[in-house]
Amino acid sequence: MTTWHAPPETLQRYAAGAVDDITACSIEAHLERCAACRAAIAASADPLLVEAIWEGVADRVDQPRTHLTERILHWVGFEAGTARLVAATPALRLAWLAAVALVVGLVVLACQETRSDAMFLSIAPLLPLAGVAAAFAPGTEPAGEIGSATPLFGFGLVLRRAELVLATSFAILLVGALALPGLQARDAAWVLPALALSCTTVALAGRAPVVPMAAALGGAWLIGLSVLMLVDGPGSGLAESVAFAATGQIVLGLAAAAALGAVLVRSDFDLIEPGA
Amino acid sequence: MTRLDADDRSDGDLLSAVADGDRAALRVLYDRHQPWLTARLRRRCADPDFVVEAVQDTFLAVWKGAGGWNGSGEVAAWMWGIAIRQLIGKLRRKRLLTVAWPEAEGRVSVDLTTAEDRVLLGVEHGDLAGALDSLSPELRAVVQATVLDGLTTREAARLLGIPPGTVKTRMLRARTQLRGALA
Repeated sequence: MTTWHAPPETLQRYAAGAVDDITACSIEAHLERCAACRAAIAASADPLLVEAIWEGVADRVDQPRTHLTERILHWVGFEAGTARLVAATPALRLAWLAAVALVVGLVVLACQETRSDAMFLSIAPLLPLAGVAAAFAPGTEPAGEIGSATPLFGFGLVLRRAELVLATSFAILLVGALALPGLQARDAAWVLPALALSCTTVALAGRAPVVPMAAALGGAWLIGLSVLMLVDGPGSGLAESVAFAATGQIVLGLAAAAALGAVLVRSDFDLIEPGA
Repeated sequence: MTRLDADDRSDGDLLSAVADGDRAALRVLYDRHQPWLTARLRRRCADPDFVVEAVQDTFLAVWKGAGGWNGSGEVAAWMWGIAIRQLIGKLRRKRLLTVAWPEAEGRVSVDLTTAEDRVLLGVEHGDLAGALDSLSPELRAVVQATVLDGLTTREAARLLGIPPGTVKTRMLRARTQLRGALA
């Protein structure tokens, strides 16, 4: 394009920061358009310095891409290492979240079909329970040996994961609850049983195998509902069960509070191995 | 500099390769552009660490945003636009504002006597060089930031560490003065 080139000696002085401002203006305007003069500056650059600055670029270019969950956690304030460990739980994988969302969606559809929120109220508490159980379950330490070697290993890690699992499944359930037919106060009646079941699981973790225990708790919940229905006699629907009325909610709330208390006072959590 | 000659692809081709994740192409671009970008940034910021960081962030931005180049114009000018804005971003964050020009006296000899410089300025800017030289360092810094570096008033204000209103008034004064000198 241009046939004029800056004198090599002037370019050298420019690169060393030793030309006056007006000359610098000229050279800078020219450099933007002239590959030959840029190459001349590049040729005289200190190779060691060029390499040292490149190291910094390469370090970040070669960094592995972080998982979305991890970046969100990091953004919310978790330290990078913690974010990676916490995010490495099956219940936070996209597949799991999608499965929970699918179940919630189907249940909400069924509720709209039957014009009753009974199914949602009875199934919803089981989903966070399943997520928490998966966070503690054997053979699910996805971080593998790295997970075992972390100082956070044990309860600190599992509790953080469980909190996140609870938060995400509650968020999904909340969206589902808002889509229930004829939204009413009773549509929030799944929250306390969900908390009671999940907290009991965490409180008992390590004292009994987690997955069978969670299954037993879930089963007890469903059997309890059935028994209440039998007691109420035919004619009254599941949604009108005492479990979702004020009395039942108070009992479930107390159970949740007791379980939460038991979680908080436990001091031996760091001795629990996930999957024990 | 065998590495510089090794790859005869144009900057634009290299950028397309970088957009496809070609790390080697990024390295070639880096070798071609890092030295002059560093030298130019260095004239606008007294802290070498800031300049190094800004240059590194520039190439990281090129790595991630190579697809953002519109395919026309000089790649060098596009990269300079990224580099100067990286530097401004850092200056704003750290509130360490260094005005490269006014404090530069002593380091730079304002001496236009060499024949080479005369030729250079004659070809590149003609009378403008003399007119620019007659501006005060403060006015010249504003002209440089807005005209040569292509910054907005707000960006120039951040680079120079003065309020945007001051950039505008100084630019007005510089324009009047230049018009007088060139008339």
